[in-house]
Amino acid sequence: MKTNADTSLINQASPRPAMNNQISSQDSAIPVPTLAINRPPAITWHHLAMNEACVSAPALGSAKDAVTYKSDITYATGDRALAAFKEACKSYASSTIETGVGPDADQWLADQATEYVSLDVPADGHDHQLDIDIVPRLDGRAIAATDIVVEPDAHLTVTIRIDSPEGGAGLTGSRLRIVALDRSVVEIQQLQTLDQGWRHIDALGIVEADNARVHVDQLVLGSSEVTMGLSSDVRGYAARCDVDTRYLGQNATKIDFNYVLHQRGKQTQCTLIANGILTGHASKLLRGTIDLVHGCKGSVGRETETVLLTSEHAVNKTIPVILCDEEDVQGDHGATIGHINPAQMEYMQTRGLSIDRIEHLFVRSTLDYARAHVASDAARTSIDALAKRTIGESLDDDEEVIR
Amino acid sequence: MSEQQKAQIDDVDRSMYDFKKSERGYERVSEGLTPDIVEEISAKKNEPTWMRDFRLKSLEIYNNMSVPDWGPSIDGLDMDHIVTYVKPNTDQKSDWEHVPDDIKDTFERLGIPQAERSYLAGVGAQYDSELVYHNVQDSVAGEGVVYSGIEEALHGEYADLIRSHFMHLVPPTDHKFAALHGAVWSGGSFVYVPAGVTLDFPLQSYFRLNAKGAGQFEHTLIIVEDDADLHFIEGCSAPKYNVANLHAGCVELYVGKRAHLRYSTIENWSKNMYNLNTKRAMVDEGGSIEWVSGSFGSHVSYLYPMSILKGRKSSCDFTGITFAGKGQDLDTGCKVVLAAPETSTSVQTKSLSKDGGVSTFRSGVTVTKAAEHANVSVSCQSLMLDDISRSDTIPAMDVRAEHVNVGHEASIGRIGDDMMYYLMSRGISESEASTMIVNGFANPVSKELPLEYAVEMNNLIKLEMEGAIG
Repeated sequence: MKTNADTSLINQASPRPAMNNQISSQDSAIPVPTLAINRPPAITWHHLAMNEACVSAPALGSAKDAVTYKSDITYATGDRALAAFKEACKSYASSTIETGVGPDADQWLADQATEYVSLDVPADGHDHQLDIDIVPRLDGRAIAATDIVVEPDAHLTVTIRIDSPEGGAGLTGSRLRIVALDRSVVEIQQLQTLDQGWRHIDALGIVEADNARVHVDQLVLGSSEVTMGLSSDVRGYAARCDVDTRYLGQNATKIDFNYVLHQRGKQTQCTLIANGILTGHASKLLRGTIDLVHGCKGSVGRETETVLLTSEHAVNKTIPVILCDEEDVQGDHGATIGHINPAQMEYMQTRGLSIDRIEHLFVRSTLDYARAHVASDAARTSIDALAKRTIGESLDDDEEVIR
Repeated sequence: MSEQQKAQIDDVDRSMYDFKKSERGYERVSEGLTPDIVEEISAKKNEPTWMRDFRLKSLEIYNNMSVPDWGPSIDGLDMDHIVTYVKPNTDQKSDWEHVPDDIKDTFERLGIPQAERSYLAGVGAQYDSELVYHNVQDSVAGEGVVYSGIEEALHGEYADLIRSHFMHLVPPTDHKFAALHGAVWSGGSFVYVPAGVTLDFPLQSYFRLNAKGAGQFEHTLIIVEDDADLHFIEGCSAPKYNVANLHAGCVELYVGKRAHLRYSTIENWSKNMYNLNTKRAMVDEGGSIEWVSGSFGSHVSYLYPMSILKGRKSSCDFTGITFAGKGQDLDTGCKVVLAAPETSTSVQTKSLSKDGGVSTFRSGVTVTKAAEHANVSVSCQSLMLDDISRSDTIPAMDVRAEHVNVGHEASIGRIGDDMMYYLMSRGISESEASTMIVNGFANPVSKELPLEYAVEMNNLIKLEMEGAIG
């Protein structure tokens, strides 16, 4: 896709965004700025409290050496890298790259980034790889900002591992923007296994040209507060974007998603799949928007969600939106939200499993799935550590599941 | 039956609704909304002090609330140019022969007296701001059923009942147009069905807004006591003007233990109407509310009947269809709050968009912590009939109870080529085929309507579909 140049593709650097100087906690002596975040394209009744989230944005010191990049391609850092990304994008896209979190939060992440990297992925017949580790060892802030142009016919796999040691506190973040050009293929695999003292903000912006393929695979397993935005501008002919998110909410974890798939090109395909388990006092809000823009004839957008609530205290909120401004399209959504079937529960209880143990089994099954799904030893180690912390078990031994 | 008559509908078109009558001799308050106007309306009705104070308080609330920022634009609605009260030159009658000829002619053309004779247990007819006709069959009244104007009830033996229920389900603080309703409401019906009484035939209220640039703010209050059963039908229409008209009615329904209420509406306001209506039901243990809702008219609609299931094993069924054509932005749907164990809800909606119309399905399902073992099923299907129209679905779900099952499905698409091909290969014309498919799409809703309304709906669809192809 070659379109008219437009320098507005890159959000222009600007002073810190306007933030509300509100006190986020009654106990706080110092006002902590807050960010309005994750506002979807179409809002609804305000009393439902689903139209946006609000996160505190404290000024934290940077956790040193917390963000590392590894790739088989030479990447650039700093201001020159940003300038290079802007230049590269000029020819390919014509609007700002949205990242789902909203402009203020997006700019805040960019401003607070502890590392910035820009990458231009060539089409040279190789499947290229970029590994981003956001793993703070000390309390503080660890935010990676990454911009990638994937050249026509190029292939790239991006893995993002967000992990923390047990204990400690701080904020991690990832702001990733990808321009996937004609016929390029991009695989994004993200794993988050933070401990409960850590919060995470994630912003992902994608632009897809003709016949581009982007697949996003997310495993959201840890942290006490997770805020994730994703926006994909599927503007190329027959481009495809698939988002598969699997999450686990334990204790009092708050998870907030805002995923927006804009289908602009003809014959585009998008899927948004979200599967999760909520235990304890965990809460989750998923805003999923399939936006079938005028002109996207022949496009198909699908959204499915399955939520298992294993506790009476868990809260699930969902707002699956389909916006349709085109006739020759198909948009579908399906959701199933429920508890363990009473018959299944009874069956397991008759075999000596307590309710706590049954809940534990469901948590473990999610962690087992994640462990089987990830590719690297480091990712498996992160999941093992999370399992030890949360269910007190190691996943690699087959210790008795039924005691 | 004259050719102009609509009853037993075999020849419906929009001209049946689009006729105007002179307002000569009618009382009109000044345009706009002021405390003086509110007091003037209250004084005309000789209301008790509490109601006058309630109106003034509602006006204060209205002035302090902002317009919704999440729905269709209502910029074209200028309250400074809306007349909130228009009284026709007659009082309420219980015999059609005593109703002034022009008003009687209006309702005859709409088929109301004929319907009353054919299959209704009682009828209320409102013309602009006041009821002009109200009647209930003796046999029904003999069972203790009360069906009267709500203002009449406010002054009679049910005054205390009205006071303890009026705008308690929909308080003026609910939203800006609930507050407006509280300030300037006029007309509407009161229904009381005693415990254990089942009405074999429906009651019907019909609301006709004839006055140009006016608002209609009728209030409907229905109390169905334990083990009772009622089907209530509501119809509405207006002629088209080149200025905005406003409808901000309010419906409050109380459904007792093991009682059942079906509330059917066919809304066919003219396309200059802002329809900002509020409907809400509270359902007690084992009770059930059924909403059947057809939205065809209005320029802009905000309409989301709400059900609060407060009693164990209470239930709600919502069946709705919305057809948005040229110049229409119809934001419709429902809200349900499941607030007791073993409650259940089934929502099934269909929407069609054509000729630049915008149809939005909006819902809110809240399963509170108390609603363990609740079941929810929501299905919304939308059909796009051309590429200049728009259809959105915005369903929200908030689930926080134990052992619940919530299922939701939505789809948006067009008429399938395979279906068209199949029908056309059997000699059916393209426009006929598309009309058949659309009627089939709407059938799950139309079959829930009283026969006359189902026929009317199918004819409206047929009319809307004319010229849809090619």
